[in-house]
Amino acid sequence: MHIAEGVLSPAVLGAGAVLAVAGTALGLRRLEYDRLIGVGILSAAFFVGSLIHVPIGLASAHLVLNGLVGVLLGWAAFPSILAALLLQALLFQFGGITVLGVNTFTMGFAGVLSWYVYRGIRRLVPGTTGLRVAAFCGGALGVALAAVLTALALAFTDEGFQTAAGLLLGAHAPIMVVEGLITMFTVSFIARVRPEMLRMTHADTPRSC
Amino acid sequence: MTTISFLSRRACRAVALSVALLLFCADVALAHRVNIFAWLEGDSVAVECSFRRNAPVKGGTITVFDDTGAEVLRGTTDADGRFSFPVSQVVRKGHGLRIRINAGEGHQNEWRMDAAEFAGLAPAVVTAPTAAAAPVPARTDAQPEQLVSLTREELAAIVNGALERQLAPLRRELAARSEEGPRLQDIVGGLGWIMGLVGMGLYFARRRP
Repeated sequence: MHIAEGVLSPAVLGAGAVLAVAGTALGLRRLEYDRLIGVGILSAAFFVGSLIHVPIGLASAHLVLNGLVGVLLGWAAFPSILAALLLQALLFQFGGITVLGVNTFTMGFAGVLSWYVYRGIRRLVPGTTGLRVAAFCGGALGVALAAVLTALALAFTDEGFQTAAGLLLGAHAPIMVVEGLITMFTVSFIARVRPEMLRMTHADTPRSC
Repeated sequence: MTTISFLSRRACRAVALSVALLLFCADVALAHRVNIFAWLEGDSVAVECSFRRNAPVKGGTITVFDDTGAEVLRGTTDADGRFSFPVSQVVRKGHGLRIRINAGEGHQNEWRMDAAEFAGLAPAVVTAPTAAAAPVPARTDAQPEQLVSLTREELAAIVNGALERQLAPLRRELAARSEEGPRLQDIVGGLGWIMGLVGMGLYFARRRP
């Protein structure tokens, strides 16, 4: 999911940087003092997540966790993912500094979109079932949408949108399921132990808008 | 209970489907970055590309550039992620090389070989034909009794050849060393950074009224 240096044209890099800055500003504005620690913890989870390889069949894939970050943080996923991606670029050479904006936007915005889907499903289906289904969809959608957005960024290279999207979605299909399950278990665990953490995510849009 | 069994049954089916899909396209890249390293092997440059250990880049596009940025040659990696090409005339003119691998889906990386790396090679190869042509008959006339008479250049060529055979695996090892994955220090350091950023955020948020 990390696009490397030197693949994208300056126009795409610039657009990605602008969108990432806008998303991060929005995320920081909506960020409340009490949730800052949560943002840090999820940033750390995202930072380490891509080092965890899940063996599936003959191959293995690494976690992205942007769906989980999005579902738990909403718009605050942007600063959280930006910090993690910056450190991944500096320390692991995943992605790079010039592509930081594009990578932040593809993974951050996918997280935010899956947060909206998560909230929508929770409104439609109340109770534990709704929570589980919503969290699973949120986690899985995070990866799927990130793949689509990454393909969109690659649309202006030699590869083209359709090839890239097909390859990325195909490669990440098992990860979608794994992350859907991870998000489902994490969210239902938090709902049992620290329900206020989820409620805050819900309250945040009407209050700050 | 029914919802859980429904969910788990659905999850099982999804996992089975994705495993089938993954086996179908096992060659698909599932990595955050692609590694490339190249080393001198006699008169040719060997290139090796991988996503991780035991995950070679099959059919990736290799492009070789000289110092001025002009394309020298192009090729594709084999099933082991290897590609090798003879050291071209450009290098003999004192140029270094920039070798780029593009593995698709935004995975790209480069490896630089400085002109200095070819320094030992260039003069030896260039002078070899002239050395073989001119002085050899002259010397054999001068010392007919000796079993084998070697000119300084011939000796140098033999020593260089033997040395090259011994050095090639060492060079590969050295080049491969630079492409190792993230170390524990990097991971722990990154987590420390995130903690520090959260601390800073908390500090500044607290000072705000």
